[in-house]
Amino acid sequence: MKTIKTLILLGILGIIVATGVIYSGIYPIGADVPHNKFTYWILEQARERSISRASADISVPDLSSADMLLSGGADYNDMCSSCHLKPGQNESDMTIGLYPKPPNLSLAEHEEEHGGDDDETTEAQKMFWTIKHGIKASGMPAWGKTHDDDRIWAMVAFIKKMPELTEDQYQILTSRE
Amino acid sequence: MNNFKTLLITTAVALTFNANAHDPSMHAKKAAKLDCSGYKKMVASGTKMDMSDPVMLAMMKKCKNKTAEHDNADGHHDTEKAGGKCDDMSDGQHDKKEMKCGDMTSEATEKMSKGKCGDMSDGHHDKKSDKKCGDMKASGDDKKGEMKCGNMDSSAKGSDSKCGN
Repeated sequence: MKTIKTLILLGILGIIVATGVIYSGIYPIGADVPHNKFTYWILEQARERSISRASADISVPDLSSADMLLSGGADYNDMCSSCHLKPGQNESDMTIGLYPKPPNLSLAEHEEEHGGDDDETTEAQKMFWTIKHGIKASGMPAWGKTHDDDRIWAMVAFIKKMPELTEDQYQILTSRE
Repeated sequence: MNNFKTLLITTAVALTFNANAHDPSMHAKKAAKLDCSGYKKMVASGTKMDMSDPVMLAMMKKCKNKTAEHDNADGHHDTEKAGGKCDDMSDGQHDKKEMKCGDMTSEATEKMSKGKCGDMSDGHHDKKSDKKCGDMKASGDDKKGEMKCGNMDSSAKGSDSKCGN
């Protein structure tokens, strides 16, 4: 009985302290001040687990079509490359200024940031979900509000191929001419 | 009441048009110009292309259309064709006009093909090349190839096909 009372008191105290921190405004909210490691870990875990759960039942179509690459490539160049970069580009104003930093999708290593053990299908599911629904308070928009599923799948198809592309190939595939 | 309902429905329908996905053409203004020179070099070098690779197929699709547009738009044959690469179309299609282009062996023709008229190695269509072709006609040069090029913009039957327009 005494233990339960102690736990309840500690819980109430924790809520009061958290409320005080929030209302005082002392927590640095600027994108140029990183989270502490603990806060970052909590947010990252919440993000990854939420995306994994939400995307688990998504049916992945055939992503090997040349037409999909052309459509997705053009959209990627116009809508995504300023943050997620392109072959031959290492940074942009967006990658420097945004927090968390957008992953460089032109590199194969970006896959490790989102659970490097994922198979091709899981990767595609998560990518599709992320593009369609965005991520809260991260700068990643929900493109599903303005783009249908076919266009988003085309972007997924292109992004999966992008680490293999040279700058010349990228330029050809992303042109709208 | 009926008028109000009509107004409401009309307004609702009008607003739904704004909810459409934004069209790719909205991005067209800031789109970079297509440069197929890398692809052409790859083809010219005889690099074996993996026809099961969607990247390769996509590049072919893109650059084949671009090459065809240039040929149709100004009637010039490009450097590759003049240099005997008329047959080098990876989709296996051949055009009689290209064969004729390859048959043009005069020095003047080579000059023309290497000059502005045929110089589309960067994949771009240079407006100046039109003028130069037109200029060749006006200058009255008797060089075989240039006369043929100059005759392209007329309705003359033989010259059109030789320049592969």
